[in-house]
Amino acid sequence: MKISLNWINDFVDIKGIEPAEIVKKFTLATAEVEDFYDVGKDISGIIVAKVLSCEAHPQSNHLHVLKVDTGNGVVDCICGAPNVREGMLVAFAKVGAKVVGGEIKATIIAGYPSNGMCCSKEELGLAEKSDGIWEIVDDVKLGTDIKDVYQIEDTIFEVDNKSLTNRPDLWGHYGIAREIAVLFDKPLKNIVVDDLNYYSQMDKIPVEVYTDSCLRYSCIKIANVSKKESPENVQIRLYRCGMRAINLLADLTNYVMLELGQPMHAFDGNAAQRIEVRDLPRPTEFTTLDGQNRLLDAGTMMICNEKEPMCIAGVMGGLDSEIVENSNSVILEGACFDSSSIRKTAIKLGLRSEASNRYEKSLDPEMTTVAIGRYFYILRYIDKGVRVISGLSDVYNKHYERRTISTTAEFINHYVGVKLSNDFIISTLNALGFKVKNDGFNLQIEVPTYRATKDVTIPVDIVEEVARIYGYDNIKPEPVKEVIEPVEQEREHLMEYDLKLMLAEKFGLNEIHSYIWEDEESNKNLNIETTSYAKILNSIVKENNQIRSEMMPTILKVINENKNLLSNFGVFEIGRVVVGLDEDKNVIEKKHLGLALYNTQKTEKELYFEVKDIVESMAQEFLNKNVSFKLKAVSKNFVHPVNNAQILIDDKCVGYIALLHPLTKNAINKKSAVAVLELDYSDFAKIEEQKVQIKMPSKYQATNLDFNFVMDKNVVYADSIDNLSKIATNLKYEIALKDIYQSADMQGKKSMTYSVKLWSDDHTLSGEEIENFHSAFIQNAKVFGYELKMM
Amino acid sequence: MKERIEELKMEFDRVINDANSMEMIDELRVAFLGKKGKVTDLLQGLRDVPSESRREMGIAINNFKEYVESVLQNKIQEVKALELQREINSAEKIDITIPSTSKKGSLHPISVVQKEVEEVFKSMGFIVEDGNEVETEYNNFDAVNVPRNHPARDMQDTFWLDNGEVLKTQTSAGQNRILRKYGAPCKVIFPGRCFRNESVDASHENTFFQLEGMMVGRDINVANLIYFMKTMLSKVLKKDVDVRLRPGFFPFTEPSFELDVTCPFCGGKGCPTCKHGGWIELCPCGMIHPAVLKMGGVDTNKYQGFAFGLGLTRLAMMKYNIKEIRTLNSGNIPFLSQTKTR
Repeated sequence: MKISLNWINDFVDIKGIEPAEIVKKFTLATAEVEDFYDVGKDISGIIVAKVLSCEAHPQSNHLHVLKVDTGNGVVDCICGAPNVREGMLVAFAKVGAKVVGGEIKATIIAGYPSNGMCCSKEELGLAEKSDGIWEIVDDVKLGTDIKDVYQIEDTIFEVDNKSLTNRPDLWGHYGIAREIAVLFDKPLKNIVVDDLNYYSQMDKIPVEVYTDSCLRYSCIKIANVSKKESPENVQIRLYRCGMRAINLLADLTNYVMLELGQPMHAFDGNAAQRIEVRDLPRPTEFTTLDGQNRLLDAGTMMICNEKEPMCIAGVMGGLDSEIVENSNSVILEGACFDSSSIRKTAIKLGLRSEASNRYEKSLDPEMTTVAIGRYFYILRYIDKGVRVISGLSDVYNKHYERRTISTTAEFINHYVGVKLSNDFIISTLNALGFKVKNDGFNLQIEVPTYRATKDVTIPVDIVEEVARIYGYDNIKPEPVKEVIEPVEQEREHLMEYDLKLMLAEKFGLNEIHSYIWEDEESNKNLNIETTSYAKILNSIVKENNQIRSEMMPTILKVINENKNLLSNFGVFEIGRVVVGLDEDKNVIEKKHLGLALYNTQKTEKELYFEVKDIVESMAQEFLNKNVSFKLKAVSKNFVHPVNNAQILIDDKCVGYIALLHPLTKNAINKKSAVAVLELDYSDFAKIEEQKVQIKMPSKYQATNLDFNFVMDKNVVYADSIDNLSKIATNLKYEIALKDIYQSADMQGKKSMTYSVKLWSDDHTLSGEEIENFHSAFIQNAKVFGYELKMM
Repeated sequence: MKERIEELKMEFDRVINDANSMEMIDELRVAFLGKKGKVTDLLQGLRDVPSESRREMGIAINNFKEYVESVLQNKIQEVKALELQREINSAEKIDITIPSTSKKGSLHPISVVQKEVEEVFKSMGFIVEDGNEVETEYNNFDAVNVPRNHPARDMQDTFWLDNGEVLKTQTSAGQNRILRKYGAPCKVIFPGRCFRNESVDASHENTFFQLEGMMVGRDINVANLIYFMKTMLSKVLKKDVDVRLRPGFFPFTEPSFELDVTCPFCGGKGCPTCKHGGWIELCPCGMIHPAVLKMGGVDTNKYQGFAFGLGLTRLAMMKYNIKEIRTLNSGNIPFLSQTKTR
């Protein structure tokens, strides 16, 4: 919102205070000022002058040759404006004067001397665009500098609208002036209004309010309006604050809104005999004053006359009831509407107007009649003949409750960490418009209506008012006094970073972040089918509305998107997935690790062993536990039907490793290998860590025995170890794989060589013991069909 | 006999000169000093020497034997040195400038920054908590005092799920759960990923990271908040910064502040990053709203506290000079792999 310091100065005397100082204090105590700048200083030497004569240029069809009376001599001037004519008063830039874009020089135009320029408002920085030169309608002595007549120079500061969200009182200059008055300890002038009670004997316009969304509706009818255009200073202020002058009656509604924060609406005086505020019973077409035809939802709040809707309440007026060229009477509305109703309508229509922006902040309903009084006061000043021709209609549907807050200086001081006196607190609050009753200890604080719509409700709100005016910079920082106690961090969280570090540093993988929703198109391309337990109702891409239940689809998307950038890489992410709904229909959320390796040089088998190595390292490093695998136990459409395995720790499944289904892999790259790992990290982190116990090496020598068995080629190594371990013996032993041999001529068999380390913790093994173990081992193997092959 | 010794010496001197490998030296040793070697022969021939000159001859043979031994020894040294030189000369000249094949992994920029910040807080006695990404409407809005009709609840700001829950719009959604878990007094931070339904561009993402913290105690006040924020942010930014508070508005704190720090890039002198103002807005904070404490089961007659938020995504972008917020969630490995793990 743009604030004019000239305007502020109407209400609080800020002469002599540097604008930068105002901006700084305001920013630190009230709301953020985004920018401030001087306007009008770039133009100079512009005087009021009269066009004495105006003749068409003989060789041009649009130029005119003028004689201009500057009040101090007559000068020649060539002017191209379409509206120039003899006898008019103009803003004249003499030679040496400065306008927007440069200095005026004596020159020859189309063969005629030109010693100055008749200026448009655009050329003086007073309008966005002008069709012709500025005709001065006020009675001004020739030769007067226009800066002596009009408020050309000003300082504007732009307040960040977002930082005013919770301050409905700051949406007009008067509210801002109140803050500045408090910050600089200056008196705030009263706002001068006409007393509308004066007209209470007259007939009122009948008003009926049929909706709870209208808190208050006030209106009055004014007639005998003769002036069409706003005074220059009104137009200039509107322009400086970002609005455009239209006509006097409409301009003043904007002027009063910018001053008091209360939106107003002016209907043509003949637009209504009676007024009804009601919600549309059904969807209805309506033409707004910008000429657009809009379809309004049922339930949209409208201001209606006896026949039809005239205005979308609080958002925008209708074309038919607009003030027109020949309007000489006006029905003036000051109303207060429910903030969320206005916001919904404005968003729905894509129409965020100056009015709706203010209504969204929960305005003070007390202001409706004040605004009407102010409007008439200003109008009467401009157009002496105007008359009020109706009594004030005022339907006050919903009063906010009068709010009184009880607190103490002690509470405020304890909350902030300062030592402020009762006197300081009371005078600060008084200056802000709060009334305070003080019994020496308790403060009974009555909140002014313009702060009582939502903003100030409880004692800590009073704390804020006092502290911000005292100055946050004046609060002395102080360390916390507290008892120091050790804190315990959760293992699941601590382990997460260490795990990521291991994956990055030991295995050279890259961590990525991906979105929590699935990418439908990517899944389709990669032939991935997923399950989802929760959908986003308003997803950005309509199809991408599924909350992921596993990490792999997004991980594979990343693999696919990087395959042309790199030939050999691995990625991982520990992310959140939704794996179901609980009995309250709330989601069950878990953390999963998703990981994939991509390689165009290695075989799938090699990569498969690499992911196995990763999961074993994780279990060993973090849990000191071994992992076992349940083969061919994963059924997912994108996972290889054969080469997949559940990861078991303590016999509990915590995830899987796999190669990809050929359909999915080939969709990525036929000539590549991809191996994947998905782990339920939440479960993994909950597994109890096996304590590390250092074992002393046996004092007695161990013996190594090698066995070479021939067995069916489909026997799984882990199973063979399980079976071989079924040998009955009191001796200690460890079985390790030494070699695997398989060839086509072995007729469905393979040869496995195991190396067995054999020892005892309490004696050296005798030859007989070794012999016995040897034959028992072979005997046991035979039970499972493993035939000893002589070496 | 004497002549025989002279003869053998000349022979030895001649052949030793040609010996240029350990094998040839070994052969010579055997030929002269072996059991059936020439020197051994001489010694055996001593038996036939008349006794009066036997002693003299014995000395001469021994001298010759020592001579052979010492020459052989020298020759061994010489040949070993030669062989070593040959090995060195024939070694492959390896071009070590060829790139090695080991992959260098990387952590996501957010992970690195989050860890750094967490360490600062841990050193100050804070517990680190993790939060959900899907939250109930109660936790995300009601429990942090967001009114029923507040714009934040609209579909254009919040992602709503078909079961009535939302994707967490701010880490504050964890406040209620954490207050209930730890009670007062407590010091907790809770980093997490948040979601907003807004259009994505170079500086806006619908998915981003925040870190929120709370300190609740009997006497925690605004003066403590300012002191704490200055200390904490100086650690996080690794630079002594000044802080200032401005009024802000958040439903879950009262009073609410926008906290500015002296621009860490120019030290407050003014630069493009701080738009020449010397301050950058970094950290929304405030005293926890009594309604939030109450809903969290905290007795507001005894306890009060402050809360603050840090934009982890913003910190990561500052640290790594990332201009495009979208790259963080892009999964683009050439981009992401530039971070170091430490």
